[in-house]
Amino acid sequence: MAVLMNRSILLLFLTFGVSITNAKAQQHIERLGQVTFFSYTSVENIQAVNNKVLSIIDLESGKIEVSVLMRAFVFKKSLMKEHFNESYIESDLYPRARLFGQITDFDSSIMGSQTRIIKGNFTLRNITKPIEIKAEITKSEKGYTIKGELEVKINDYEINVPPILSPNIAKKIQISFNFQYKPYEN
Amino acid sequence: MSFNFIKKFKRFRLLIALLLLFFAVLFYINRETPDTRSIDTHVSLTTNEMISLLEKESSINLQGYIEKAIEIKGLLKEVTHRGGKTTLILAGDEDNKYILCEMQDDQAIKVGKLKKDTMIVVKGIFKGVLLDAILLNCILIDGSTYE
Repeated sequence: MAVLMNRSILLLFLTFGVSITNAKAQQHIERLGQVTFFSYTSVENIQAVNNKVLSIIDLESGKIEVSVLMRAFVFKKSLMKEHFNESYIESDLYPRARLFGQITDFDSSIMGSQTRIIKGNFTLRNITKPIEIKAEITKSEKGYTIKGELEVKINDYEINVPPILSPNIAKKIQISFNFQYKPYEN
Repeated sequence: MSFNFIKKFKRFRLLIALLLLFFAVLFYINRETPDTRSIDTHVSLTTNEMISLLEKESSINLQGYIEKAIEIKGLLKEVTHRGGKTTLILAGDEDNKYILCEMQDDQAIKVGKLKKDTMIVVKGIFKGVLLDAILLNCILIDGSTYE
């Protein structure tokens, strides 16, 4: 009886272990993803780049997660960075933006590119809104790449711009992203 | 001295003061990110010490390092060049957690001489944590001493 129980535990462990291994094999990670945002107005154009965006994609389920450290955006001028972190985003209070999404009709076996919609929820400043993003997913010998663009309305995330600076900041911010994934080794 | 001369002199001083103020504001608005060499080091850590702090991210210590210059000594796992930026990935004993150091643009020549799997020391501005610790505007302190 004891031997049978031990065998059962071993079988359970092996099954669970194999499923974890399979799950890990399906996950790909990007630690150095690029997110760029643009604010175009007639007064001033503002651009910032973040080259340290984290993203994990599950090839089997098509689930995607993106995490952006707000302080890691690089601006041309220090004052823009200060306004962004201290006044608009309040990075001390809300250090990260997050996207949890599902790639619709994603087929990870297709070589070359496929255009798909990512449906999910985007959280910025602790405010979560549903979002749909058109993305180009490419599978090559090097791995998977996901590129795309989206638009974020600053009012949706309660970003308050002082009236004096209002002409300098666009009401809709253009965001582009480029992620190059590698298999997630743990 | 005539009254007119004193009046003109006062106006001239006012004009100079306004010009100085204008240039000071202009300089303040357009100032660029300071060179990390000119910033005092807040703390020196090894990659293992830093990674152990990542485990308890909410600790006061790590929060206190944000936007401060930190020196990190660790094993160079990888050098990547993407989007016009060079990033050094430093590893500790733990798999799957790293220190990501985006280098200052003037570090290209020094970085070109680095070899994988050597101990190096970098100094950069700590920005926070996702899965890994993130430092920007990094400079190479020493690329050979610890080989």
